[in-house]
Amino acid sequence: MAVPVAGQAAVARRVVLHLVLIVLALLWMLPVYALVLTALKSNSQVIAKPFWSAPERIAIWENAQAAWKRGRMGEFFINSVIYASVSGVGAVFFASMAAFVVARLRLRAGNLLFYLFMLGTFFPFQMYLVPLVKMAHAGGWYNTREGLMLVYIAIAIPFAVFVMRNYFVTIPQDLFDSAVVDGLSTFQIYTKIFLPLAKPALAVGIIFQFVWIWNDFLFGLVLTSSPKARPVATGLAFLAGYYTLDWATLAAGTLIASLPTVLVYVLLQRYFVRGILAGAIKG
Amino acid sequence: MLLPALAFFGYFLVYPILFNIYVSFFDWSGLGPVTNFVGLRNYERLLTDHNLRRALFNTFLWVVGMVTVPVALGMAIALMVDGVRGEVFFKSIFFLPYTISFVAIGVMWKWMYYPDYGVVNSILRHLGLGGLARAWLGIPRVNSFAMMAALAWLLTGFAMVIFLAGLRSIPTEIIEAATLDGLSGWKLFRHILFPLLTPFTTLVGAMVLLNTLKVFDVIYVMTGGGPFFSSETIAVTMYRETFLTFRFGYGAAIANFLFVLVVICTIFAIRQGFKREVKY
Repeated sequence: MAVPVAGQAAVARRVVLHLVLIVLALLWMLPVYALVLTALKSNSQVIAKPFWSAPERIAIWENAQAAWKRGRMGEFFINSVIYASVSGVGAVFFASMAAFVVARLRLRAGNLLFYLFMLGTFFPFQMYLVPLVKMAHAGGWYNTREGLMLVYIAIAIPFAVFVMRNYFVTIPQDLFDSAVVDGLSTFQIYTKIFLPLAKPALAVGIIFQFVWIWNDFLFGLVLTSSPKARPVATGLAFLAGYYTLDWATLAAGTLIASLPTVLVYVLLQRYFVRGILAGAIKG
Repeated sequence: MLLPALAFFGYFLVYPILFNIYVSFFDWSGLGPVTNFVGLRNYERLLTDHNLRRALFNTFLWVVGMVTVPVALGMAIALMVDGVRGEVFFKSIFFLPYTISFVAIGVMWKWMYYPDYGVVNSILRHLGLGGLARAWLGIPRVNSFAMMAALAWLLTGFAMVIFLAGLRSIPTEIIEAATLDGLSGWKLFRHILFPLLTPFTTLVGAMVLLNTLKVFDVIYVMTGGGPFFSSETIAVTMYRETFLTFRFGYGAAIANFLFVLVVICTIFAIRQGFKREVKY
């Protein structure tokens, strides 16, 4: 008799575990659910009926359009597409070159340089704000896309160096040496051999930086003053300041601002999580 | 090949840090040349500023809240989802908030706490608990805790991912041996899993600690630090003093002060890490 009882207990425990997880997951999704439901409804319904009421009329298209045009989320969105892709790729490209040198340099200087780059991830962003604003005004790149693009590249480089260097050191030295014997220049070895081999690391780096830049608020806040250059998260924060009574539009705007990174996560989960783990190991 | 990265690094990262230290000894409104040298006056002000003291206390509350609740919850969820049927589905749900920007999280939770017809108050009234409904973000101290829930919501998924990696790193033989010895459930956790996860707990704790010291976006969006500066943290005060009150020198000094806190906490975290290093 003892065995079936133990079996029943195990089944009961599994059922309880699943129940707990399901309840927790439902609770976890409440803020997202409430937001999506709000974005689906007309604002008059949002005001008049409780948030869980089913949409009387699907108004998400109007809401999204209002956020995109009137709320100017469209302009912010396009700015951030540029920042996240150009700066993300640019930072990883420059960082991979530096990481290649750092990883292949047989000198002590290689490690020293690497630690110098790592130091760049250590200072709170707050320390950059005052100087960057002054530099932006003095250099004429305040409130320009070009300026913000360069700042994002710079901020992203140290961590990208970290990811790339840790990948490059796993590539056997023999490969490098035999390429030298074959008469390839250092730059050729980098472009023809190491870069193609490093595709997974490049993917991790670019995806991680894309998400980080897409979600940045602080630099967009202090270095832009108009929709011309304002990134999407900063734009959304402004929208949240103006549209305090129009939750339907605001919810739609929030969805617009969040969709790209959520998609990146859903489609490229493996790389994304690897980037996070790499970041954790660094810390 | 090093040159582009070093140029970016030098111009946008090294030079600003040095300039930030330099400018913290000046009284500067952000316009015109930096000429009004005031020595340590900005740092003296730092010590006597009531708003900054409250911000320091709030930051402390945030740090304590974030290194406890999301870390414990993340560990619990990791233990529950590990190997369960539908693991990928559950993991995705708990991790989803981490992929959304702080600003979007802030807007989402502002809607949760919206006083008139927001989510939390609507639910409370529906359940006949209307007496508990309140302006969550408008009451000092309450607003800090309300906003912490939003950040905890996001950090739990992060902690879960790290702890899942930690659980994967534990050799299965150890768990098999422990199970053969009759350990299961709570005892297995208490005597085997928890000690083996310690390096990961320290890691998550340290990362959460260092990032929470700088918490800014969520607060800026949800309360702007108000009402009456009640929910400001150091980073929010720094922003207000610099860009709203135009005391750039003082703002730079606050940022440097924040850096000193980060250094102290890093040293503390590294020491904890070494002390608790476990070996199988």
